[in-house]
Amino acid sequence: MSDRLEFLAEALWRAEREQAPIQPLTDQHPDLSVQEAYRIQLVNVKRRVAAGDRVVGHKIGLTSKPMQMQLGVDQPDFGHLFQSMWFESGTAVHFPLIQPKVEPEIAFILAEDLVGPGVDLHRVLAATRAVVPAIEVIDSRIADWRIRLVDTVADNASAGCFVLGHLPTDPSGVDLETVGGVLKLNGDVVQTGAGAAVMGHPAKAVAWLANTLTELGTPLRAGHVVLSGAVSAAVPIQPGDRVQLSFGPLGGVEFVWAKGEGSD
Amino acid sequence: MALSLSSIADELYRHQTAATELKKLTLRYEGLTVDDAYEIQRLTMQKYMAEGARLVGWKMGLTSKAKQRSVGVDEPIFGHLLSTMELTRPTLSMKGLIHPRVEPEIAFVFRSRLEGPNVTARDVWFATECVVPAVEIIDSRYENFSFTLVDVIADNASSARFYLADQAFSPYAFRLDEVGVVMRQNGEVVQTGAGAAVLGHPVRSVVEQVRMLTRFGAAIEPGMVVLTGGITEAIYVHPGDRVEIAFAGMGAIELEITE
Repeated sequence: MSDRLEFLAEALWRAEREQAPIQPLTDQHPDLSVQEAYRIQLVNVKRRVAAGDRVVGHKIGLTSKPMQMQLGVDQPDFGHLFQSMWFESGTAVHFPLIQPKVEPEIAFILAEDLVGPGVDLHRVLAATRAVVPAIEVIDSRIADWRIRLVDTVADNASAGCFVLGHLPTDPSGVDLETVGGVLKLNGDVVQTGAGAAVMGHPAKAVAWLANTLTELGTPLRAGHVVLSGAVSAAVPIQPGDRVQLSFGPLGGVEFVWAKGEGSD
Repeated sequence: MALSLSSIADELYRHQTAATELKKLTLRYEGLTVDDAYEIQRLTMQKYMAEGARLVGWKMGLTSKAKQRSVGVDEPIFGHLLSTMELTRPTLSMKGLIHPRVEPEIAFVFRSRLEGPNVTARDVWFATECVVPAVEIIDSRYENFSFTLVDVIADNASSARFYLADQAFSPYAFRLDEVGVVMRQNGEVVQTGAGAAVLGHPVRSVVEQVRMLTRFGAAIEPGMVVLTGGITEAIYVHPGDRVEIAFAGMGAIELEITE
């Protein structure tokens, strides 16, 4: 591990601890590669585990064509989810966030390990214990969200925290392509979308993740949560906001963002 | 320039039937009001009806917060649906169109009359025979699809063509606010949404439709169709395109675009 990557990981770690966003890494280091960005991400994953947190799964980002075009890429990216980021529906979320936005997603909870290569949509569905509606709260440690691909990858794919619904649904009983999500902010509809917004089918995104993680030597494990990607554009939230997502037959999920004490 | 709503209607009719763009009315005529615009719309539609077209229903526009914001208003608009605008099969010819865009909608079909300023969602359900997945083809006659509120109302709320799927459904079969919709263009997902994009629930769009019609002494008549509003953004289409729109649990419409 080069000093440079350690240094950049440290800068991101501090930005998160101190809730003080930093300038894009790519400003000073335009030559940083995506591989190096993932190594930076992993430095902070290890740091977090060493501090007592636990990896509970992954999030997939950049799963829609518009998002990929915005960052000039043709692939999704991923980040790590930790126990400390996990909130249940109906609770007040106390989590330190800098400039959060919310996204409607479908979460997959795995019953089996998913080891590639060759994992496809059907393998994902067969290995999934349940799908649940999820609100992902994304956040960036980069000032004003001025991110390029390398910046967001290094910054744990802009993961913040996430809230899961209570109703576990067998994925074989629901059409995840056309299932519709309705996102409300303080009672008003702010975004709608359907599962196919995620790479044509959310299970395709999970398959991509399973194969990618296998190559990196850290395959998806039984019990892991995978946030498969946003079905609509992200919506900024303010302290005190109430966020609700209903996902048709998958049920709903909601929370209030309570900024302040109770977080580290 | 003196305001002659009837001559403006003549002009719009010419551009609509010849499929040629025109400059925004609001750039050329001062002081046009929303009521003037609806009168221009009515006069224009009368010309089609004088030539044999029948009024078969109404369409709602600007039913999402985002679209209302884009023209700086906080209420929807409506237009006329004529028999000549209805596609009897899912093939859209570009003939007679300028720069058409396609959007998925839920259509309501009525068995009884709906009128009055105090109509409720309950009244709407009671009057509804069925709901049908639909696609609307909008085609603003203004340059660059750019307009103000008054312009778009005068231009029949950009309505151009529409198609209703073969299969109708009971209005009680689905939660229409949670019906997911996926629009693909040549195999690629280009838009997704859910019914709640339409004023929170498509039924509210019908309520608004009736209230607005009441202001102009009109109503929803038995047998009429109401297109409740776009569930996603509209996409531009071109000859050779194939647009597939899937409605959760309600089947799909495959629209072919030809020269």
